Amino acid sequence: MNKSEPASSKPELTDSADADASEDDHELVRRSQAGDKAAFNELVTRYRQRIYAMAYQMTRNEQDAWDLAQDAFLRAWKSIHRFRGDSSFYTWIYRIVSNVTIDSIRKKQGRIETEFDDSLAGLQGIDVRARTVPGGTSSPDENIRQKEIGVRIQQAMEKLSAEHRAVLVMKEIEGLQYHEIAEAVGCEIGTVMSRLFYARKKMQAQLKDLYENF
Amino acid sequence: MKTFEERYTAWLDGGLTGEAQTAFERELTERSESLEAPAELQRFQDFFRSHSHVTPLESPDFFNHQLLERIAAEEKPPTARSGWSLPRLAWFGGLSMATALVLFIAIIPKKSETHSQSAYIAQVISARSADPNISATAFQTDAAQPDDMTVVWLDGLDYVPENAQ
Repeated sequence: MNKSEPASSKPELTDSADADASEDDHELVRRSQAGDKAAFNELVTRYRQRIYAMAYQMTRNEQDAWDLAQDAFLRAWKSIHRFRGDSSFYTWIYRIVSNVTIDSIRKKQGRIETEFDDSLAGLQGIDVRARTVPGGTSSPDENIRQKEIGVRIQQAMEKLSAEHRAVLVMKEIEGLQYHEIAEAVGCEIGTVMSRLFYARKKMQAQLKDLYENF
Repeated sequence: MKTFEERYTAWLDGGLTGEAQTAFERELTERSESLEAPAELQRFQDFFRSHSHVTPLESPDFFNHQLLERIAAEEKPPTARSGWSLPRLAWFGGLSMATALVLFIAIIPKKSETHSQSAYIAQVISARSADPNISATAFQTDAAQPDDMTVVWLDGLDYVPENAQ
């Protein structure tokens, strides 16, 4: 991983979280607005992992996450001249990737009925007659169990609307505050709390057998 | 007044304290809702977070490279991307229109010429005969010619009566 890339475990939307980076960001944004692609490239390097992670958590698909992160940065470049610096660059790009991802999920949900698909879970590549032990420290049984759990979580997520999925990921995984989520998705705090209520209920109902034995 | 869903979420996340918390928990009891929900949510959160790790972005340098390529492609003027630039399309459109106009003038007969001729059409308005097999029709010879004439055609008539000649 690139040395200048921030840790992706717990992204913060608050501007004070990464004050030094924000100051640098400000200069990079200014240069980007003047058409300096190298400066924008540096911003991409700084935030690509976080933006990719956000898209991945929402879609649970590496290829989709890659494409959505690309789209988000491309949209950011096109509209960088409109960025006024009222928030940090990360808050701004986070908002863009949220919207891009929500739009993408909406389109997909309108287009297909979700069905169980091995390819989504990465189970396709496993030969049932295989005798070789997969890499890693976990046992084969454990690996398969983890993948099955991943499939169950993915299926549960796919039954949520794009909006419910977004608030669930932002709250439960990204650890954002209500007002930060509201800012990112562009709605009232009350709406965020209401969406979170239903998203949690649906997820808990679908995964109860798994997390009760966890 | 906040909705039940909003207060429930606040309660789950520890946002209700003191009297508000007590009042809400009383409301939950009246609704037969479990007061163990925060503990259950905690189990769900632990499970969900432990299965939500993200693998690092593969080929991060290629990610930047691909993005810069896309930016460059977006910024290229349309002429460089396609042979049909806007001015060229305009020229082509104009030329097509002119060609169509020339063909129209050359091929389609002028209406004014037809209007210069007589609009007269020969027609038998009424014919009376004792024999129902006899019918009369009329037509006009080439109206464009100066010696055009109107012809009355009697069908089924063996001879022309003398008094009609």
